[in-house]
Amino acid sequence: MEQHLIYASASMVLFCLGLYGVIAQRNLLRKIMALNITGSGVFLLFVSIAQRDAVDFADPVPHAMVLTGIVIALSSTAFALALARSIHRETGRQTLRGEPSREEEADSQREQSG
Amino acid sequence: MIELILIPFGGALMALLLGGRGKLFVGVATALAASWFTAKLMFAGTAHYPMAYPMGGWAAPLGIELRLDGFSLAMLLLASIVCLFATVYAAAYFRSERTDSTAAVFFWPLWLLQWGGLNAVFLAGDLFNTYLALEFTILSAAALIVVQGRLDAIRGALTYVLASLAGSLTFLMGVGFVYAITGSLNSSAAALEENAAAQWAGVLLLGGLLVKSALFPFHFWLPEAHAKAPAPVSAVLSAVVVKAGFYVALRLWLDLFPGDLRRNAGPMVGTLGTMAILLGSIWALQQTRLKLLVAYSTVAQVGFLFLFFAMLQRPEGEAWKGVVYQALAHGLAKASMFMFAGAVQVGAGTDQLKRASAWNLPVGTAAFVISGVILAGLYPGGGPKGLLLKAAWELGEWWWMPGVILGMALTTAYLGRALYFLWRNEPAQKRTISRWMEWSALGLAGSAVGLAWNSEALIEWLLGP
Repeated sequence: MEQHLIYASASMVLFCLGLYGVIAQRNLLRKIMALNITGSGVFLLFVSIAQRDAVDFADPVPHAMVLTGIVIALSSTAFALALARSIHRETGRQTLRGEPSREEEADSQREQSG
Repeated sequence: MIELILIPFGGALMALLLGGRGKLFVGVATALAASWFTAKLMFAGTAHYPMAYPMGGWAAPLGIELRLDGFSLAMLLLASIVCLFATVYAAAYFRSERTDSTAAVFFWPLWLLQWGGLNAVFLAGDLFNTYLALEFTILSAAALIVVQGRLDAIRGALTYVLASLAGSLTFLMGVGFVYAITGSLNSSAAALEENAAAQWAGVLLLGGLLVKSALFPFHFWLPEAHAKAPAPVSAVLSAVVVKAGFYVALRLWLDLFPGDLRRNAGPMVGTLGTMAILLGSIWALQQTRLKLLVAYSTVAQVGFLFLFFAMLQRPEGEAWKGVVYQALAHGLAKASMFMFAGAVQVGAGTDQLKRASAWNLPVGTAAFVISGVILAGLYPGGGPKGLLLKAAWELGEWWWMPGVILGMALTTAYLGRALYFLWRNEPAQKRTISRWMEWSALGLAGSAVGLAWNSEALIEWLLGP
């Protein structure tokens, strides 16, 4: 298999894993990290596109897009984290809704038994 | 053309740096300037469309190109009218905030950023810039939702951000596919050929945009985000920000998507639209709070927008006029309704239908009734809903018609129910509400009437015969 196809397939796997994580995870921090994995998948696709028709050098346009995309991903992650932090500060929970997440339950059980 | 992006962004920077009354002054001045330049575009006429503007003089393949045509002008005008009235409304709404509160410090910069982002979406000529402009709009919109720092608003905003970012990344994946297939980012250069890769590109692009424009079943983030935001923000979110995703979706649907994807996905999008109309209206009927009712109404009205997609293969005919008409009419009417809901909330201290009263808001109530009539299509011709029925009839696709008619009936029912409660309840306490808030709601309702009055001529002027 050609190199760029390996990258492209890996990017699809990362993308799907990330989207699954955003939907399936309940912990906000995990959701945000899952979004970043989705983003990495997309960026990896762009990098593999750039390499595809390379003769002497790679196509610079996808590289420029990845750089811009990383800046956007960084700022939106920062914003989402700020929102998640204020939810944690106000409610003491790491989830969006009332019920505690699995980790928090485990934490409280540990506290009770210990 | 470039002024429409530069002025709001420049104003946002100025508003961030200045303090106290300066922010309000910059906010209003920027709003007036941006509206002035939109009006100038309008009066320049639509004869020479489509028009391209190479930024910095760099031509298309290398530089960034802005593009203007009748559809983008229609959306720019909508953004401008709604944002201008909402600016007046916001000035009155936030007057009671302390000058050192988060809302007072950050509202105006974010407000102008959002406006610039919206204009950038409507003017963007290539896919990657569309992505950037959409991100700008989402992030500033979500920050505006939490500007008063209430917990339920933070929850709504975070759900919105997570859903929208997942949508954005899906869209960006689609952009990558398009670039891999065509080697170009220009969204209107040529339609994709009919093959498997193009199908996947279209599905990714469309999927991402459906999440952003909250079509059922991706509506889950909308009601809370829109209902918990401060009232002027809710107005712009429901009226224009949702339309940004819709605008891009329709653009790509007509210009870029391969014909077989349009034919295959059309009935599916139409079915989702019908479900959104019916379920959204039924949910709106069940709400106990006015702002949530209006937010669920947006879920239903987005359904109408996407139902048109099932009948749109080319930019022509009743369906093409109807979809633009629906976008404009819903934008104006819904912004007016959210402004009224905000005035009720301020006046009665609550927007719970059991207790809220509109007796002290005669002008606002008039605006709500007028917007309701426009939204339900209860005037001769039926407005965009009439065009939707006509398009379905002409195509012989009668099965879309019961959903539309039922949707119109349900719209009338939930708006009537809200009015019944607001009239029945006696005002518990007399709180003075700025007349500016009521009158800007009425101004938008009046614009909606103006649109309905001259719809045929206006839309023909925008889109060509």
